Amino acid sequence: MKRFLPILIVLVVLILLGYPLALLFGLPLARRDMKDLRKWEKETISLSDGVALAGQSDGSNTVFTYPRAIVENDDSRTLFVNDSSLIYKAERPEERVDGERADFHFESDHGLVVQDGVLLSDGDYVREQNLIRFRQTPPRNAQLRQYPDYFVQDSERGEVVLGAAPETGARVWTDSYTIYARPACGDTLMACFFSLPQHPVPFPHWIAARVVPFFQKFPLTDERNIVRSTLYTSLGTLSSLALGGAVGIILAVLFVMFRPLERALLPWTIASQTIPIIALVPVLLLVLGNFGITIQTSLLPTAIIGAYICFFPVVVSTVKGLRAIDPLILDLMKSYAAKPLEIFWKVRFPAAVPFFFTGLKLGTAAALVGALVAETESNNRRGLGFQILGQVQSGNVADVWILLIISGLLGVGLVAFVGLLQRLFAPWERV
Amino acid sequence: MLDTQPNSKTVQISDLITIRDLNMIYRGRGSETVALKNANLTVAEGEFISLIGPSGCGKTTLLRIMADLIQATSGSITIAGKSPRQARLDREYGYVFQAPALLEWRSVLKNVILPLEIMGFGKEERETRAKKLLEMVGLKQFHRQYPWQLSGGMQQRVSIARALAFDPSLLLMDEPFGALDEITREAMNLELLRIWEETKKTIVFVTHSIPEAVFLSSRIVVMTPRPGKIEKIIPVDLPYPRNTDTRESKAFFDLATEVREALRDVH
Amino acid sequence: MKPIWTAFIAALVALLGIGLGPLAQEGSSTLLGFFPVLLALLCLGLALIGKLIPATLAVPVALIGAYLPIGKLSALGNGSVAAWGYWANFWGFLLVAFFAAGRVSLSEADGNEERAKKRLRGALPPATVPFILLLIWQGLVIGFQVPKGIFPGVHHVYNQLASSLGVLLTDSYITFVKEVQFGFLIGVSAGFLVGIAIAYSRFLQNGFLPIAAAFGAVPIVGLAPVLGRAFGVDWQSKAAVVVIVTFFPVVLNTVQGLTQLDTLKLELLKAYAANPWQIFLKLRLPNALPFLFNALKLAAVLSVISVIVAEFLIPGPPRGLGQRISLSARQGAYDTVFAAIFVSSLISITIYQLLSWLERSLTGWHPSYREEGH
Repeated sequence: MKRFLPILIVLVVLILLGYPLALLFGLPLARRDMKDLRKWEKETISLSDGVALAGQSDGSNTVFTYPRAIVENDDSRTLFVNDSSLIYKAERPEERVDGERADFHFESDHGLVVQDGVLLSDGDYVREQNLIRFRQTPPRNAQLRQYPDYFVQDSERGEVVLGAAPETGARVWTDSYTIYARPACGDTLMACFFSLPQHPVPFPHWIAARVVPFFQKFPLTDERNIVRSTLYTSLGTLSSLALGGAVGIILAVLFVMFRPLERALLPWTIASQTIPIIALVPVLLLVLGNFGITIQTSLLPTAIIGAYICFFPVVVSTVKGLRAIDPLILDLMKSYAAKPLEIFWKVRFPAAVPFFFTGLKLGTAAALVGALVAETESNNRRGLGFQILGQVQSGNVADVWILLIISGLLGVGLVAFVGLLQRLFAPWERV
Repeated sequence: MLDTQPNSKTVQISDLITIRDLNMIYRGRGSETVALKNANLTVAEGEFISLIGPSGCGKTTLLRIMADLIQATSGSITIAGKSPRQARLDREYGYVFQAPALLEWRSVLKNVILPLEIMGFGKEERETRAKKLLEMVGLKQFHRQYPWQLSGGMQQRVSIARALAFDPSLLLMDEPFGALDEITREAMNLELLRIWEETKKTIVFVTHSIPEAVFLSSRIVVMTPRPGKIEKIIPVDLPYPRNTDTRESKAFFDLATEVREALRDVH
Repeated sequence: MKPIWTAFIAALVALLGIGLGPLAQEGSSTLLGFFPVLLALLCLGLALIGKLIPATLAVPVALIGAYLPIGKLSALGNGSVAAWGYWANFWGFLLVAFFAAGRVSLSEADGNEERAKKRLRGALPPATVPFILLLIWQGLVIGFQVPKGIFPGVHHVYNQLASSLGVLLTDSYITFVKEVQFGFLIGVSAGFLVGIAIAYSRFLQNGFLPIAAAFGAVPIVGLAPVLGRAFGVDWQSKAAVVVIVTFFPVVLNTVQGLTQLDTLKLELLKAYAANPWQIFLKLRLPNALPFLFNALKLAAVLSVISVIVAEFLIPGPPRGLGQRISLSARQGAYDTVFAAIFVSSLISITIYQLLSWLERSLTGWHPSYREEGH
C-alpha cells in the first residue's frame, strides 16, 4: 500500500492541475468569444425623434460619438447633419495596389482616405479631383478606401469622423443604429468560459460527470459500445503483436543463421526506423483492398499494419538475445559434442526468450498506435480509433478525454499482459 | 627438461593422458605468441594433477587443448588412447569452467540433466543420476531453484555435479574456485577432495593458488610464462585423508615453499 | 576462395531466360542480344573465379543485368505482362548479386591484407541492399504492369520527386523546421529539467515515474485531436504533439542516467567533500549523457513519426509532409506519397546521424565505443 501512496498523491496533483490548465486553454477562447461580434446579441435601435451624437459642432470638430457603444461597421445606418443625410460607403481605387503605383483614382472627388483601416491625414496625400497621389507609395495589396462623407473610426466606442466639420451649432444626429449588446456567452469572461461549447481541456469533474453517460451511450448489442470497442482494439493490437512477434522471430533466426544477411541489413535498420511507416497505412489499406481484404471484414489489415510497425524492436532485441550467449556455455556444449540444432534449441533459443519479450513490450505501444490509425482510416464503426475520431468530429471533448484515458490504460494493460506472458514463458528471470 | 619426463612411479599404472612435444602458437597480425612450448606430460588414471602458474603461462591453453576446445599447433596428445577430438565425441571428460556457466533458464536439477539429455540418456535415469549427484554435492533440497537464487559456491557445486553427471573418467577443471572467497574456497576444496576419493576420477585442475594446489593434488605441474612451458613437476606426498589439519602441517608448508620457489626461478 | 556455385547456377538461369524465354505474355520477343548475353557470361565467369575482387565486380554487373529486362519491357510499352523469360532473367541476375555480395561478406580475411579490401568486405553487402530492393520493386511493378494508381513504380516516384521538389521542400520546412524543431527543443529541455527534479526527489521517483512510464503508452492518436483543439489547427498543435512524445523518453532516461551511478564513485566524491553541485557536474551529468543521447535519438525518430500522424489527424492548412501524404493518398496520388516519405526519411536520417555524431564527440569515453577503436 505504501508503494502506491506517492503514485496516488501525484495522480491527485495531476488531476488538480487540470483546473489551471482548463483555464489556461479555455480563457483565451472565452475572450475570443467575447470579442467576436458575430457572437453578440444584435439590437437595432430606432428613434422617431432621432438622437444627437456626442461632440461639439464648433465649426472645427469632426469627431462625434454615438450615445451607446459599439456600432456595427456597416452602411445600413444613416447620419444626419441638421436635415441633410450623409452618405456612408467605401470606395475602392480603380487601380490595383501593386506596391509600385502611388496614384489612385476614386469615384468621388472628396472624402476621407483610409489605408488598412487607419485614417490618413491631409499631409499623407495630395488630392486632384478624384485622383489621390500618395506621398508614400502604399505597400502591395494594402487596403485603400475612400469614404465620401464619414468614416467609423472606432466601432467599439461608436466614434465617427466626418469628412467636413459641421458649422457651429449644427446638430449631428441619427434616427436608427445597431448596437451589439452583451455577448451571447454572457456578461463576464468567466460566464463566457463556462458557456464555451467545447473546452480543449475540460475541468476534471466535467470529464468525471461524463463517464457514466459515456459508458451507457450504446448498449452492449451495439458495436459502438465502449467495452466492445476496447475489446476490438485490443484484439487488433494483440493480433498485430502475434504477427509481428512471429515475423520478428523468423527474421531474427534468419539473421543469426545467415550472417551475410545480417551484415547487409543491419546498417539499414536504423534508417528503416526513421521511415514514417504509419504514413503507408492508406496505401497498405488500398493494396490489401485490391486483394479483397478490407478492414470492414477482417482483422488482417489491422494486424498487418500493426505488425509492420512493431516487428522491428522484436527483431533487434531477439537477435541480441540469440547472440548474447556466454562463450563458456558454448564451450560447454562443445565439450558435450552437442549438435548445432541442439545448441540452438537448448541454449540460444531459451536465452533469447526474455529479449524477445522485451522487444515485444517496446513494440506494444507502436502496435496500439498502428491499430488505432488503421481504425481511423476505416469506415466501420468498430474500435477506439473510430470512436476517438467520431467524438472529435462531433466535438465531445470530454468524451475524447475519456477515450484518451481508456486508450492510455489499454496501452499500459497490454504492456502488462505481455509482461505476464514473459513471466509465463521465462519463469527463471528474477523480478 | 628432464623433470618433465614421466617418472617411473606413475608409468606402471595405465596412462590416461599422454602429451608429447606440444606447441601452441597464436598468429596475430604480423606477430606470433608462443602460448605453449614443448610441453610433455603424462597423467595416470586416478591422479589429481594441478597445473599452476602465473597468468599467460599456458595452463588454461593446455587444458583447453586436452578438451579439444582449441587445437594445438604441433605435437601429439592422446586421451585414453584417443585423439582429443575423438575423446570429446566419446564424452570421455567433464569440464568445469572458471564461472559456473549454468543455463539461467534451467532449474538446478535441469542444469545437471542437460548433458544427459544431449547424450541421450533415458528420462528416468536422467532424474535419478542428477538427484544422486546433487545429493553428493549437498544441494538436494535446492533442485527446484533457478541458478540466480544460489550463492556463487553453490552454483559452482552444481556445475561440478553437472560435469560428473554422465560419469566421465576424466574431470578437467579450469580455476573452478577462482571467483570464490578464501573461506568458501577452502570448504569447496575439502568437498572436491571428498568427491575425488568417492568417485575415483582423474582430475586435471588449473589454479593459481599455491595452497590449493598443494592441498588437492597428487602432483603439481608448475608452469612459467613467455613462452608458456612446464617448468617442474612436484609430487605431493601428503597423506590421505587430507583435512584442515593437513594445511597446518610442516610438510604442507615445505611443499608450498617448493612450489613458490619453482615459480620464482624465472622471475 | 571457392567458386560461388550458387551465383553460377543463378547466372545460368538468367542466361536461359535471355536465350530462350519470352519476355512478355503477348508477342514472342526475347531479350536475346549482345549486351545481355555478355553480362550473363561475365557473371558466369566471375562466379567461377571466386576471388574477392571478381566476386565484388559480379555485383554491379548482375545489378545492371537485372535492370535490362525491366528496361526492355517498359520500352515495349504495349502494357503486356511479363512472361517467364523476364522473370528467369530478372531473378537470376538478382540472385547472382545476392550470392556474390553474401560471399564477399563471408570471405575470410587473410592475415595482412590492405585496408581497402577490409573496408570493401564490410561495405559491399549493405551498399547492395537498396539497389536490390529498388530493382525488386520496379521489377514487380513493370513485370505485372501494376497501374500507377494502385502502386507506383520507382520511376513514377522519381519523376514526382523531381517535379514537385519545391513543394515538398516547403512542406518539409513546415514539418521539420517549425513543428519538429520547435517541439523537440521544448520537449527535450522540459524533459531534462523535470528529469533532474525527479532524480533528486525520492517522492517523485516513486510517484511520478510509474505515471510517466504509463503516459508513454498513451497513443498520440488520442492526444493529437485534443491538442489540436487546445493550440489551433496550425503548426503549433503539431509542435505540441512533438513536445509530449519527446518529453517522456527524455524524462525517463535522464532520471536513469542521473541515478544509476556506481556507488563507489559517489562515495569517492563524498570522501572529497564535494558539494552537490560538483557531484552533479563531475559525476551525475557525464554519467547521464549516454542515456540522454539514447533518449534524444529515440525522441528524434518518434517525433517525426508522431508529427506525421498528428498532421493526419489535425487537418489544418494543407501544408506539411503529413498533410501532403494524407491528401495525396486520398486522391490516389501514391507517387507523391512515396516521394514525401522519401524526403521525410532522408531528413530524419540526417537528424539521427547528426545526433550520433554529437554523441560520439561528447561521450567518446563510453565503453560502447571502445570496440570500434581497433
